[in-house]
Amino acid sequence: MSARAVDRDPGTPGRKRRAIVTGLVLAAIALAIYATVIVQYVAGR
Amino acid sequence: MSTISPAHDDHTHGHDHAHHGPPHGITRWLYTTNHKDIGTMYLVFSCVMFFVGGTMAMMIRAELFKPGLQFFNPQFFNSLTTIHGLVMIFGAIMPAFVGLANWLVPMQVGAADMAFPRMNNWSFWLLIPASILLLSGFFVPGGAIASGWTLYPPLSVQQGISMDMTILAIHMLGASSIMGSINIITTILNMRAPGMTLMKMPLFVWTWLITAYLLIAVMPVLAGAITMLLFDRHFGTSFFSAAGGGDPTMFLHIFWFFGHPEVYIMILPAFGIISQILPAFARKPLFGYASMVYATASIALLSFIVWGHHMFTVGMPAAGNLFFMYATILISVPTGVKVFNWISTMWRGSMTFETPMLFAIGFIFLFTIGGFSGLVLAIAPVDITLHNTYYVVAHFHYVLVSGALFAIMGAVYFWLPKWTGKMYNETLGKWHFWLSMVGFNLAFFPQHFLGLAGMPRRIPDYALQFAEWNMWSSIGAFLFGASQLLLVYNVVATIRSGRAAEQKPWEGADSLEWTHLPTPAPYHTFEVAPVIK
Repeated sequence: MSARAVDRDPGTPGRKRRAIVTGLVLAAIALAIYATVIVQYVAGR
Repeated sequence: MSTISPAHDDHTHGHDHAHHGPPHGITRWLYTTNHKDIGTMYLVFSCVMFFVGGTMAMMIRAELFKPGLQFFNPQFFNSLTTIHGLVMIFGAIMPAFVGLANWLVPMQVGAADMAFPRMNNWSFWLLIPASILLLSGFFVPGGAIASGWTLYPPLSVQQGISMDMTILAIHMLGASSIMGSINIITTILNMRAPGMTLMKMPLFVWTWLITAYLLIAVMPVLAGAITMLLFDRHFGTSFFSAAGGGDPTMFLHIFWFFGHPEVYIMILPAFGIISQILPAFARKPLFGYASMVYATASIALLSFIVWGHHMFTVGMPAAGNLFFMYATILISVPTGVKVFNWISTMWRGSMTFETPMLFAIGFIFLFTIGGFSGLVLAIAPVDITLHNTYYVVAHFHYVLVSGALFAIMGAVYFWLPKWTGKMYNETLGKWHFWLSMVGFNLAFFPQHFLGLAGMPRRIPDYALQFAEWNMWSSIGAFLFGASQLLLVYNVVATIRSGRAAEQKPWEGADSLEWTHLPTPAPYHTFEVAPVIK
């Protein structure tokens, strides 16, 4: 089994950390888009 | 498709943990973090909302049965069309797909559960107060919003307190969708079983991965637009008020930048479902797996640059209209790839026509009609004539009812044995399909003629020349609505007294939940990941 596959096994710390980082990055992207829509419009006015 | 190492055929593991089954009572559902429980709650919620929105549809068609005002005043009629649209989109279709994703994605990628189970619970329970807010607009002064589901200003700036309730409800529904999407993407990217490479994933997982990215990209855009709307209403800004130097057309641009990808959010998971049902009943692998993935991604990318085709009549420059026209027509290329692949999958297959297959074939046939009428509307000079007519109503119902909804119904019949361990009544299922097919086409095909003849949408009364087709449309709608009771009866009867399902009732089904898990799927699955070769 490759190191990457082992890393995906449930309970492996690396896998959990990577999942949390993925989730946080996605949430940050969503918030950034929300802010951008409003800020660019306010700036444009 | 992938093969699975027998050495890791670990479904017995679920039995070892049978004593860790679900808790009992209401707390099971309130506190659950189990993807199957949450999937079930999503599906039940969407079914309830489908009937709420469907009741409004029946009221709309009753009013339109003949010319003149029959039952409702025009304001209430507009509230009905508005809330019908919002309920069906945000309450029925989207939660149904999220419910299916909750049930199926972890099982199809070989994961134990979703990546963030507590957030999963929170995503679902946000829907309840949001839907109560949305629907209780009917009971406040001024009544429910009547601006159309698109919430265009200045009407949406002028309406009563129900608009604020709707804005809050949509914010909550959007937050729920974004959390659900984060969960799905994280699950797929991080929790796949060893050996389950991206290009071995079932098409339903692929289409949901792409859909989840779409949701994260566009839901915040809608949230931004309606936040600005709220500020215009209460905090003295004039983002969209021409009187204050703002631009109402800008709202249309922002709304449709969300709105068109939203259409694909509601149809891409349906593509994934059809891509799994067809090979199972044609007993052949899906034709052109890789091209299906690339076509799905292409459709998603193109969906970001076509929003202007919803607003050809607002006075954009000709170059803008032409750009949006050509970009929209371009979408027919990857969509055509998909339809070609589905037909090629069936070609010379050893086909049988159980209910899920009937819904899948019905989907291909009717969704293609909706796609073609979409092409007609994409042509800017034609759209200027057809804009805001019943032709548009017919088009998007062919896409969203015989497209998204038929796929959801096919999925329910297809996976019900896996969920419940029982087989549904096939005869009743076929009656449901054929009555839906006849009712749907009778309801919506004549609306093409009405639109071409010039009947505008969102009106409770109409000229005498439109009377006959409206009567037939209403009869079809009543038939379609009534036939949905068969689905509910069939599902309830299956759960209560259906005969036991075989381990793999569909001969050609080959994804992990069929090949690697018992039927019904145990409460906990894949606590040790399977190895995919």
